[in-house]
Amino acid sequence: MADEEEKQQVDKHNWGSEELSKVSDTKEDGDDLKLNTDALGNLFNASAPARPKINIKKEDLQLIMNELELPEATVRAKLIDTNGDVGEALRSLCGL
Amino acid sequence: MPTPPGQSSSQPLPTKELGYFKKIVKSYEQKQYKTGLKFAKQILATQGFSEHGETLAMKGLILNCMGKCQEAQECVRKGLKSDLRSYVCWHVYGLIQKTEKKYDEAIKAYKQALKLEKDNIQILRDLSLLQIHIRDFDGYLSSKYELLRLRQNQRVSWLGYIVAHHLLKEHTLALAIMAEYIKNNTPPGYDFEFSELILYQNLIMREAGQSDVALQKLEENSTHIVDKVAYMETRANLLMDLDQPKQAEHVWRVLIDRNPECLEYYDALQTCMGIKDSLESPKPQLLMLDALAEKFKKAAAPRRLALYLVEGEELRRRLHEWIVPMLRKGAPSLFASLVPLYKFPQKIAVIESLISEYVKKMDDEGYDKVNLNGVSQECEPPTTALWLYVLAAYHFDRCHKTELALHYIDRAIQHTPTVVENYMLKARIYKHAGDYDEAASWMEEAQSLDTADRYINGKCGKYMLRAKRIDEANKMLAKFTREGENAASHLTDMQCMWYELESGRAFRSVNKYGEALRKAHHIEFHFNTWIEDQYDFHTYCLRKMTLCSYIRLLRMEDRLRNADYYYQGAKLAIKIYLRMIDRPDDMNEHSALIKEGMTDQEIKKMKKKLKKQKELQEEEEKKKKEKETKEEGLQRGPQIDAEALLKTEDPLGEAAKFCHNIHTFGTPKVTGYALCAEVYQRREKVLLVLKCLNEGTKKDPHHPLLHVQKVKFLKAWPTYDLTGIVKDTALSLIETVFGAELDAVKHNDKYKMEHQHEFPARLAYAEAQCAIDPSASVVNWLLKSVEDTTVNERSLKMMLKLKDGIEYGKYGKWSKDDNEKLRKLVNGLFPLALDFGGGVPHKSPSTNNSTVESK
Repeated sequence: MADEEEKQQVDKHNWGSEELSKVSDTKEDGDDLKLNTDALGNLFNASAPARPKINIKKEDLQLIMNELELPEATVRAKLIDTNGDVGEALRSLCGL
Repeated sequence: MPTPPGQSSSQPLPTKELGYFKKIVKSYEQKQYKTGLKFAKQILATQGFSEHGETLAMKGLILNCMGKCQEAQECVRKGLKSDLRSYVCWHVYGLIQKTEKKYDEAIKAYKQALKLEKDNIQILRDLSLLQIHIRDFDGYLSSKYELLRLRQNQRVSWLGYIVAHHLLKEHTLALAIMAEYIKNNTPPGYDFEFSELILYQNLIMREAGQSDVALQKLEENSTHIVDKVAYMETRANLLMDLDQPKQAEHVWRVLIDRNPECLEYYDALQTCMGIKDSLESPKPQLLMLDALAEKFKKAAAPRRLALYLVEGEELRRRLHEWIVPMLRKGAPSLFASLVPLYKFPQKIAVIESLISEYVKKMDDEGYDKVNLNGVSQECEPPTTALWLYVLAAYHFDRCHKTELALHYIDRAIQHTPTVVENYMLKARIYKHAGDYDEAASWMEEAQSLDTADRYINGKCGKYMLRAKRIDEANKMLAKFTREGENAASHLTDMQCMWYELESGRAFRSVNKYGEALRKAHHIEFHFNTWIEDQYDFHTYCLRKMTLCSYIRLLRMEDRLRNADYYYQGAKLAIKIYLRMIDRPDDMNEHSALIKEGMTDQEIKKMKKKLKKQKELQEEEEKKKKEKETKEEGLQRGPQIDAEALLKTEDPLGEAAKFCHNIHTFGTPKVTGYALCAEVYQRREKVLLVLKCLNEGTKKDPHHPLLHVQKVKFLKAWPTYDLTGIVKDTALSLIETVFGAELDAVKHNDKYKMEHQHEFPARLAYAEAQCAIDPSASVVNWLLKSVEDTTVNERSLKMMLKLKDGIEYGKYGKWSKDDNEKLRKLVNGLFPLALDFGGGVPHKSPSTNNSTVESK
């Protein structure tokens, strides 16, 4: 009885979010993809995708974060772009 | 084999309690929260399980969904502490951190959970969603890889993996996987989702720079593509990229056949025909447009575009053909279509002469007999006169000829007193002339003619805010907001940005800086909400296969704060924060009441009185808030306290937060860069100052506000002590911005010489001069500038800037007499401007009706 009531309330007030939850719910799609197993094998025989490692110095990171008041992620991404060259990163972030 | 929740614990539950636990999970999934809590209580009441980690976690999760965030946090934390080996506890801890927007924490928690329970699909999904949300593309790729490995026959796994590669700009890989997918899964017939996929494949190819392959694939798959317009537009663009303008031209023409009003098509067509911006004459463009106008008799676009290309007699002829049918129809957009012409004085003259000619003809021949085309066919419909007067009013308003504008709008109202838009235009004319009270009362008049119209209601509220009548505005707006609720909080719920901005400015104009700041922070809050809102699309778009739109959404969200509303809100906030530093006494809204010459005792007495008033007010508001909280259970929307905002320890830091969002996305506003430069100058962030000066200079090298900042920087530059790469970078930036001239005084003098006929530039020179030398006297020179007819752009807006600047102390010391002189001068120029003692004379407060009658 109480459950029923509760359910109704949810419906009435949250119809917007109800709709949304329908699209973002986690039920699994019934899928029937046809796949060529060889190709899949090729894809997974190669190991998990590895990203190139670039050495980034902590003081470089700190310097730019402090000078330009930027979050770490932005600065890190830029330093990766410039292969760790701090001067180049700084100039690029300054619009030069 | 995955471990189900409840058995992963280091505190295993006996059968009965395990049953309860499963019911908790089920109730949670079905959103039956109260039931869930009941079962949780059962377990926690059992001896030995009062600290059961996973139960506490689930309880916290449910509490969180019910909006009891504080309690939820505590519960989940406690749960995690008592069972650190449980993946459920970690997963829930991550979910709760996510709702608190602590994304890094949440990601760490998910990863910890995955260590304990490898290959848990749900956790991997949650992790990948957060990774894409914070744009950790590398992390996203590896999560998507795991998901694809675990669920190879699921479509979304494949799509996610392709998107991840695409976002990392690994186009070749993305395309290879896409090709594999398509090869095995091409549907036989009509399939919208496949069509979307093909278009997405095409997008990746174009971004990889493979236009030729893209075109070939597009043609191969043309039968699969359902969205024909997208297909043709893509095709035409690809042909242009591949240097086949003839073929592209053909496609654009087919598109114009479908929609002859799309301006972009005309633009592209001109590019293909090689006649865009032809320097000698616009003739080929006109030929093309006229041919299309002939072909599409009812299309406005080719006719309108032609207006912007011609001058003199030709313009007059074309305008005549354009305006007369619109007047007969009463097209409301007529004036808007002419606006681009107002950049050119000669073109304005043509418009004016045409309008005067029509009016004269109308007057001479009588508007029931006249025909504007000259030939004596049938006479004009009676409404032609009405719309002609409206057009004339618009025109003279635009040219700042207030009297004429009012004359014509009154004639229009006299002609047909029931047209709401006419009163709105009248209000607008008064607004432009600076009499906000009169403007608001005419808007009220308009509103009273159609009380069921939301648009006019909003306009009326806005005009009342301009007239600083905040309470009245809220009452007006409440007619269209939720009943029994404060209009302001409803409009905030609705993320109504114009309201936040206008009411913020209104509060600022009555010295309620705290309230104004609060409104600016609401705008910031709305933008944060929109960033949050994209969360649901990460799943939705992959499932619905709308991938091109999804990529566009991600890119749009990345630059969301580049929107104009954000800029306006940020500007409001930054300027108040600066005022806090420069003029801390202003923050007391009653500071204006303390006048010179009052005795200490009087001041004390008044302060006491004000304090009492405030306490009473606060008490009342507190009560109101409590009542609201009780009624709604939990508070919605942003909970920002105006008083607390004013008490910030670090106003400059707060301002810098807004600045970051202005310059980072490359705002097109020069004024934005100037404002940021001011803030960073005070924070002594030399590189940021220079970055902003440089970006601003690229947009407009001579902008007055930017000039002031440049001079301020040059003055401060010798005092900075920089080393290493910071110094090197600063020097290169200085070179780009200033060239060789690094002397503040000379720079300023040069600017004065070069821009002596522009009033805004004169203001800038004066402000910069006072910044260099605080004892400089610019008063007389500025006063002379106000009345100097050789100086352009002496607009009301600029005069207000001058007035506010004087009050702020930007232009040195001004005596009472100086201010009075300025007031008289400006009053002469703008007799209706309230800020300079002008305005429509009123006999009694409510003269609306009598004014109508007297006219």
